[in-house]
Amino acid sequence: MSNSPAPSLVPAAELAGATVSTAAGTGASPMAPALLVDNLSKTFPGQRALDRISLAVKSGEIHGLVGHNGSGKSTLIKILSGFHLPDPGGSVAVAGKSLLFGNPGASRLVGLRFVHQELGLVDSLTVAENIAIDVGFVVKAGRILWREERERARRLLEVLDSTVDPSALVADLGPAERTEVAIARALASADRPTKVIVLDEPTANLAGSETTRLFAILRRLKANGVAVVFVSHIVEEVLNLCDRVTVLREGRVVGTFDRELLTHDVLVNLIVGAELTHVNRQRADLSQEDQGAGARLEVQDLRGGGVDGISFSARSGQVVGIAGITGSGREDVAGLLFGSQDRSGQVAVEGASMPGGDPRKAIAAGMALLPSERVRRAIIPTMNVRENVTLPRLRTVMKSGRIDGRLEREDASLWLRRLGVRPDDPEAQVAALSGGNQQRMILAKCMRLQPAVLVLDEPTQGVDVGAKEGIYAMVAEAARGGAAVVLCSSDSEELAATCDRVLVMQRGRVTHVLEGEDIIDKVIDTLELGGSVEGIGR
Amino acid sequence: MIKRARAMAELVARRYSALALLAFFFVVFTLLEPGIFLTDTTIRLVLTDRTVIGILAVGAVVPFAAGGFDVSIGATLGFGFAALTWLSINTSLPEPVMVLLMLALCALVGFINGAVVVKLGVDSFIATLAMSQILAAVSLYLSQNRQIVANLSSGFRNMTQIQILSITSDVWLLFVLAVIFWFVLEHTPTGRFVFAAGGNPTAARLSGVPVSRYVWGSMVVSALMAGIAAIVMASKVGVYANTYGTGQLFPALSALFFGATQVKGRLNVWGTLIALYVLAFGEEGLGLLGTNFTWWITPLFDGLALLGAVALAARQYRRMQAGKIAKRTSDPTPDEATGGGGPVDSPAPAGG
Repeated sequence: MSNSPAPSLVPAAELAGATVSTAAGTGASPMAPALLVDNLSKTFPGQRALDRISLAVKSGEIHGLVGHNGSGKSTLIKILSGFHLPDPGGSVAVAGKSLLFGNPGASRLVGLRFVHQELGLVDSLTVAENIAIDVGFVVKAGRILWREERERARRLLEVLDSTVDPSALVADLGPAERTEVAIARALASADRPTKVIVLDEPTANLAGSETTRLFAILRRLKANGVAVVFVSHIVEEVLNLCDRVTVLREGRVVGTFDRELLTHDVLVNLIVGAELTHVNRQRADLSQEDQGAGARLEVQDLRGGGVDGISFSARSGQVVGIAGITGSGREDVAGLLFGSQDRSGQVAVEGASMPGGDPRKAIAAGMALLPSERVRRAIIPTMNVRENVTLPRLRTVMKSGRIDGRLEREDASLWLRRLGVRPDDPEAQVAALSGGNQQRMILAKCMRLQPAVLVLDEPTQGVDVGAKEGIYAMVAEAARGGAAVVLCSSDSEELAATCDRVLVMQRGRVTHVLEGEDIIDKVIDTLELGGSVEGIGR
Repeated sequence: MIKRARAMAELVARRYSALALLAFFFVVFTLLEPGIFLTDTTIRLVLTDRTVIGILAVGAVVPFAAGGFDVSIGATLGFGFAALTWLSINTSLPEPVMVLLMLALCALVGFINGAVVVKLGVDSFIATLAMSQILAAVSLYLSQNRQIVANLSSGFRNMTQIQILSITSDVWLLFVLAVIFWFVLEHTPTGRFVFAAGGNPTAARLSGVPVSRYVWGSMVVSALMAGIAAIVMASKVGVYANTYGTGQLFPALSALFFGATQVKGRLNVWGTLIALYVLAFGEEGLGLLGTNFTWWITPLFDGLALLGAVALAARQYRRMQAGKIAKRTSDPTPDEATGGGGPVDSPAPAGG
């Protein structure tokens, strides 16, 4: 179908249907597609993550799979890899063999393999061992034949034109070499030869030249007749590499498109789902903006991590959003501002320059941070709710050299009630709280410091829709109370719902600043992906 | 009424199982050994018998609560004893100076432990294991692998024998130290920061806790307490032998871990002391039953009681978790849709 000369956008359902009929029917094309997904749905409680997905991937093609957060990409991959069970009715076939769902071993058995973003290699083992633990050891008389193992690893790496030593420890390899090992491992098989390799965001940890190298490897795989499914949200990479692209949006297939039919802007619009040629807007009043005086937070040339020099300021009562896809530097901004990550540049709170490297000083200067990844970075599970809430500032609940139990309980209780934490019992264990309430508790911990600057990093990560609204209301409340709020988020709807100004980041820099009525989720999505919206300058 | 009684029983089972066990020992051994077990002589004997281990264990609460592992406390105790003995024989320093010098050396041991853990990034278990061996070597060198009678004054020898309210001074010392440690750990920011550092170092750091400083300091505290334990031991025993130090490590750690299942559900001073004496009275009762198996019954009892207490605590923890999960909605969240795959937020139905 893709050979069709007419530059029309073929809906994937039709395309897949056509392919099925061809394969099963006349025999005009005896080759079954390498991967055929037919009518696949997945419903989670209260939400349809995938809605009748169909797509076909041919042998020897590199097939892009793109979509925004929540488009269903990850759910689809998790069904293919046997982690999720789909709703009844759908089917998946790999080179004509149908896939048994809900069993990771079954995917491998039909020749469907995965290279996940984290790669899943064991650092303390050698390259050959990493391949062997996955596909099985070559054993003779109960003894592992190490020479054969190394030979097998060498052959697999040779297919990729890779120079990695099979005896090397994975811990000693760089990120690009690790990716090569993971791909080599995905090629190895004890049973059916690998037909399809799915790579999930493989370039996330790679530098530019390493990405070029990876692309060369993927083209070699393609030349060897393997079907490559390339999952990414970096539009340039997809356009560079892929032969065809399937776009997912809100759990549905928008369509499968030949590369030649796509331009950067067309692909971005397909992902975002709106033809944003022009935004009817009124200029926000810039006169009161960035005047320096009265700014509670001033940031000058902030650098560190993935951030390559950004400057902005925020006044009392203002909510400034930081937008950007993962890898844009957005995920490092909060830590850099707070000083928990090494930085250069100037950060001033209420006119006073704030040294980096010490969260204590940031707190003393009037800054509070709600970190991302609540469980890993914000919660102390061995302490109860009261102890968690009061930890950053204990001196206000002390009396004659000791923490006053009654004072502390009352203080914690007050803030738990203000932030609407349920239950509001300060003696409750943190584990007894739901995700949304844990997040409110951490917000209570921040607000108790009555910060001049409140920095929020993915504040609604892993909380349900209802709890999100509550958290937005509290952010607005904090701003009304006089704090300058910086909200870093990968969720553009969240930014649109809460922010007075949004800084869109790409490759470590701020590329666009949105204000007032320009702050629209689809505009943010478009700009994040490097698309352009007429009427919105840089 | 019945409900309240059941709640009480549950609380005892959850937080004070050791006290229940202690009561059980008292009843059983009093019945089995009338007039022998439940006498003030036996009780006083048991109390004073465990003071060295008790001081070690109370000191060890700090590094373990801060998330570290200190297995060098036994060797530090032995080293402190050896150093004091050596000083008493080879120098003519006044006794208080010798004691202070020894304590300073022990603090230095803890300081080095902390430096290796914080600055060199060595795992605390490995760092203190290595330190144990190094200290054993130093102690062997100082003692030339012989039993040595320390040249200490009778005042020093007798200071642990002084009776106040018919309880010896070493027991009082343990009690006073326990009160100080309890106060600092449970009622001051310092203690709160120690627990925060141990509970989640990343979150603690982001809350403004200088985590490495607390980890470092905690190892100095435990080493210093090992030095104080060495003073008590030197006073009570008077003769140095190489086996003294490391032999105290396991009983101290048993009390520590057993104690963590008591009172608060995390490491704490009173739980540690309760566990220490429950084990002590159990062993004493068993020992009085017959003389032909006393020498092997002690470690066996220690090991079984520790396993039992920790297994019980683990079971209660799993039950609590299971109860919590049952209250939640059953299916996993679609990770993409919520941007993180965290737990589903849902109101807990009453009575689940």
